[in-house]
Amino acid sequence: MNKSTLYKGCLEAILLQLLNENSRMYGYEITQKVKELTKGELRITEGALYPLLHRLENDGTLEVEIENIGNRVRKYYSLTKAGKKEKTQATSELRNFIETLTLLVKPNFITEKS
Amino acid sequence: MHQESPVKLSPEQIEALFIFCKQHKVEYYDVQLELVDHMAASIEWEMAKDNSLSFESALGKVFKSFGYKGFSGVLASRERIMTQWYGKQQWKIFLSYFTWPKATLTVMIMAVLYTLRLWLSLSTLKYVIGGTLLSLIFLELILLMRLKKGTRAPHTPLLMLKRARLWNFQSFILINVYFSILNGKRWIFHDSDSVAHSLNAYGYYCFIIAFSIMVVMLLAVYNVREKVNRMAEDKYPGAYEPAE
Repeated sequence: MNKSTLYKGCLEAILLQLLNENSRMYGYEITQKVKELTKGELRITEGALYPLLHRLENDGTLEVEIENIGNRVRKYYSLTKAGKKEKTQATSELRNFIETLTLLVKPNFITEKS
Repeated sequence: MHQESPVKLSPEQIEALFIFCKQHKVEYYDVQLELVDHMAASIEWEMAKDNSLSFESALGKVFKSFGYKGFSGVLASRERIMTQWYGKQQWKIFLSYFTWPKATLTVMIMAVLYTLRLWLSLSTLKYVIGGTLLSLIFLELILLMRLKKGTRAPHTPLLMLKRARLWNFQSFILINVYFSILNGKRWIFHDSDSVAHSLNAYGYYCFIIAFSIMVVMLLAVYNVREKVNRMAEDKYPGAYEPAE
């Protein structure tokens, strides 16, 4: 099964969690951080990341700072107050989702596989 | 904080990335800006990892990571979001004319038109309706001139300003909507011998409400245009600098 399809629904929670831990991040940094944390298992594509960032900015979950970094301009994203609340909710929903999935695939699924 | 690559792109290479965006149908500076930074950061790391990699080859590799849709997916989502954002801003300003302190203006327009009803006969009031509708066009001309005088056009187009710099005549649209919904033309152009078509008190009160809404809508449209133009100048000064 395609891994990215499995991760697709969790992208928002992952992104909010990352921004909560790193205070502010820019697009490329997010893709690299996810790659690094998951040891290359999960790769967020640009085509999925930017539409999500833009939607969350419009919803008021994220705020943007534009900074000149020498030879170009960079857009940094950070969580707003509402975004921090949203993050807590998204993380708990993700946790519930993982627990439900574990029930569905049976608790001994991982040991069976290995 | 993310570590920066030891390789730094030159201003010419950054300029080449802006041109690359334009070649891939991304004309708007506010969209280009983010794509250029993403591509530049990615290229810098690719070139740092492999010394023999040229800028052009690294660019090709990075562009592939945007998938088969290229930039079009990012651009389409940004356009959709900006349309929603603009609509939200306009609605917020429109509603503010029904809350204190801006509501005083709305109440004043209604009060003046209502007072005229007490002084003038219905046969005279139909000329008042025609005159006030015409004044909507003059009001728009004043707002338009004020906006043109007070704002600058960017050298590179901004998606944020796509709707804020549309020079269409909103007053004509509003008057047309008034005529179609309330069939308001009958109250201006028909003679009083036809009871069904001549202006009555109900028709005049409908006009008062409709006209107040039309003025407020027109003000909201131009308030938003002014506000968004100012925001764009603050947020994206680079778009206002002449291209070299």
